[in-house]
Amino acid sequence: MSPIPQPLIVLAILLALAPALPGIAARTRALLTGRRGPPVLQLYRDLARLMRKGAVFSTTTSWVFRAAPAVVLASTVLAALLVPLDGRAPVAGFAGDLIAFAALLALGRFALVLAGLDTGSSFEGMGASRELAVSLFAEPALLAAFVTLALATGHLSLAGLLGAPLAGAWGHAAASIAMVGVCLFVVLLAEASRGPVDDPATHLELTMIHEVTILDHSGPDLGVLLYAGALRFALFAALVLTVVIPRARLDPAAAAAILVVGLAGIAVLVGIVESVMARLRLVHIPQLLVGAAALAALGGMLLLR
Amino acid sequence: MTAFALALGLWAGGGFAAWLLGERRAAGLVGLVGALAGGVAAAAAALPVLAAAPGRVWRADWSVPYGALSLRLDPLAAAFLLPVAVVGALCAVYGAGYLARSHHPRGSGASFALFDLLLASMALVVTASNLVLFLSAWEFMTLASFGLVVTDHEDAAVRQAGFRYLVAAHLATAALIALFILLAAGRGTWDMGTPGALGATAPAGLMLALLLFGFGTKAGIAPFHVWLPDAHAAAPAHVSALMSGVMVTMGLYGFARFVPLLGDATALPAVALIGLGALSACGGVAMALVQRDVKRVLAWSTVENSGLVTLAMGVGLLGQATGQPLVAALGWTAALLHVWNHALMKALLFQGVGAFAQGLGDRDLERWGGLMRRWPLTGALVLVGAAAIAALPGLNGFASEWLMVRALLEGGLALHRSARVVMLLGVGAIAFTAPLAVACFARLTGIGLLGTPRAPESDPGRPPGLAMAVPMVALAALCVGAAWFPVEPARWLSTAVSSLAPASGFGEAVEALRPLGPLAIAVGVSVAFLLVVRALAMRGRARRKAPTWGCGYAHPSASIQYTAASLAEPIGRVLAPALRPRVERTVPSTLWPAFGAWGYEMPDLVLDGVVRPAYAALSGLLSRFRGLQEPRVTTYVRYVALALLGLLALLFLPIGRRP
Repeated sequence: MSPIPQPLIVLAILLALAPALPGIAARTRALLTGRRGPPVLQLYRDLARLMRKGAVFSTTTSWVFRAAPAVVLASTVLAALLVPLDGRAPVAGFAGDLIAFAALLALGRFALVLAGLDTGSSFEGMGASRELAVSLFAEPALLAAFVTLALATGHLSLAGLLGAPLAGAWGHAAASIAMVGVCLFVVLLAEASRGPVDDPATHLELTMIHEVTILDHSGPDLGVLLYAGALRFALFAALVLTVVIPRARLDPAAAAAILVVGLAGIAVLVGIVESVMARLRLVHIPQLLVGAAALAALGGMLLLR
Repeated sequence: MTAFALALGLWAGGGFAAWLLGERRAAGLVGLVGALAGGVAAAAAALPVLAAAPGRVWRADWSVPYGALSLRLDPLAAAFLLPVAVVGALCAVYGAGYLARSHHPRGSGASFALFDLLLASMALVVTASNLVLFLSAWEFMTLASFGLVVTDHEDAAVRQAGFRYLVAAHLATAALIALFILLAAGRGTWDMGTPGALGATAPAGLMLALLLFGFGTKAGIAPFHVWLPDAHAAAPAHVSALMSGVMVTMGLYGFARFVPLLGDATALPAVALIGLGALSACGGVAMALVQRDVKRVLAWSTVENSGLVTLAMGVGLLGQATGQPLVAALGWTAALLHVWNHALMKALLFQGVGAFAQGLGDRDLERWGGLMRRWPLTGALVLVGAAAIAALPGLNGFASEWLMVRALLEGGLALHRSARVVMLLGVGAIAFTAPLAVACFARLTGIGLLGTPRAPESDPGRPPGLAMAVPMVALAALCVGAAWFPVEPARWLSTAVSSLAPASGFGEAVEALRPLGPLAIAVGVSVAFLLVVRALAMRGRARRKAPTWGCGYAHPSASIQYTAASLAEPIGRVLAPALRPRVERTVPSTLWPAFGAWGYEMPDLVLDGVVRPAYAALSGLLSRFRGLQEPRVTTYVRYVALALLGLLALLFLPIGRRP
């Protein structure tokens, strides 16, 4: 056994691997559409370059614009502390931390939206508006998934929802948990700004959501925001993975190995979804997310008696 | 009790002296000193009671029929008295600065007289132990706040808002009078403190309906909220802050005090409170999201938060009715904690936003913008309040809303059958309000304070002075403190909660809050850490200033920014089936279009759909009797004679006479 606790090791793995996931998804999409695509590790290179650069600030912005990347990154990392990434134990947790998880992500979104509006650009206002509209459905869907898991496991902490009790609950509530897995995958697509909700590869500002909200950030600030976005992708991928493959009874090394392979697998899956589906019209995004929330709620209803 | 009597005396004396001094310069000062000293005395009276001293009772005879000057300062009263004292004092200080900057700085004597009277009457409402005394204090509270709402009575809209408030408040008081008569008849006493069960003849459903209407109107619960958005927008900022932060909690106090007196052991009152609370929370925040008037945004958010407290009270009652002490303790703790937290953050928001509105002379969100760089301190304080009320971790609003969801989830796991479904639906309601609240306050601060000024000529002038800044800083500090140490306020509430719910669940309910302190501190510390790292890393690097990237558009102007309406439009469109917006559009049609327009208005469904038609029908009905009026005295003498004859006839006819 290493002296470093296992939850910290898997957290370090997640933090280190996060920038690879968008690359894997992009490479998958490129291969499926007959192109070569950018290298898988492209985002690492972008981050390294951005972190060395200076920055340009808009004359209309205030301190809110400069502080926002720190809030976004801090809230995402704190949310990652609450999740049992290897399906065994989180770094920190308490009964009811599932609400704190959702609220921390909301804090990051609040900062992002304010930074967008601080530039005074109508494009970033548009992105902010869409971020808020998507969250109106993504957050209830996330909570519906958590509540169904709570009903299945009888616990109110993420350590219970996704840890050992979940492995036991697969025995009597398999259908409900599978529905939660599907719901969380859809929430992943929305929260990580992936297709068919958002299109990370688009070049037209009018069709973007996340990319256009951070249009004016540059240099290290942009690097932090890109990294936080990748981390959010990895975090939700770990969430989906843990629901689908409970690992509480595996030994730590195997659980961590499944995390690494699973994250890559989910990134491939996201790439496949993006290749076979066009981006949805914005008015249809609520339908997708409401459908996901309804599926998770249905899973919960199966458990009521 | 001495400290409390002193507080009442200071408030009443300060107010009376301010009134006597009238337009003199000293009037405002005397009124302010009265409000401050009264607040200190009232806090000194409330804190020992909260710290587990037994409740105090004081009683004197009163010549009013059924009345007695009977006061009781028990933990529940103290829990509601403390915000009156603290927020009242801070609003008074702010008010002194605010009135000095307003366009008619004279006449602050009358304003402070009413302000101090309002504080004294609210303190009496929460301590009155006799039903007649309670009603008297309640009426004083209504009249004092009405006088404060119509401060700017030159404006017709203000007069109309004030009048609507007066009518709504008195309809509610009528319901309370009916309720109290039934209550006194059923219990056989007009004293609230005397333990006594209701007789079996008391109509439980009717009494519950009267209670919900009577107190719900003051609390601003939907669908009885129709007076609130107008009145809170029309009042001066410090009055709005006190009304929204503290006065609405008098209605919530009524729920907490009188629902147990109904003695209804079924789940009906609990489910009614949960249902109304959920309706109010969802409807309030949805309407807040689409308002143009900045103060109406805050007023509708009060409808939301009153709804959240009501919902939590219902959870507490349902936990009690179903024999779940932990759920009951969690629900009541969440409700009372949110009363405190909301008083702090709503007062902060109304003060900060009110200062900007006063500086600009404009409450239209579409004409704000770029204010963060003009008044950085006030802007940052408004941002703190907005993040707090949007229930974001790191600030106090999150602690109490988290506790609400915790209570609902705990109930969802522990209860059975329909009670369980009610709890899970409650989780759904809060899950729906949370992202809407984030969107609403991102819109208020993002559109209102950030970007470039949308009306180029607008200028807020010089920033607020110390008198306005100090209360806001204090409120913001309390918001942060209550978030970093959430267990402390919850522990202060322990005596009040244990008077409402079985004591066995309480320790666990307070312990449940413990992890939120480190979480809030972690948010603050990690953000500060990253900002320091960023500042160090950016040292010596190239930093350039440039215009916002316009995607190739070479002539940006303030008017091409995203507007408040467009920011909320995607959400408003989704909610349209429920909110029924009025959309007016003129589509340019010809080859050389001359004119095109698109207008969008969100009506208050209860006001326009129920209240206005009802009043129109009533006035139509009553106008039919206009023929009876004649401008001659003899006609009325004839009416009087006829009425007397009719009464005389009643004496001789066997109608209605007891056998």
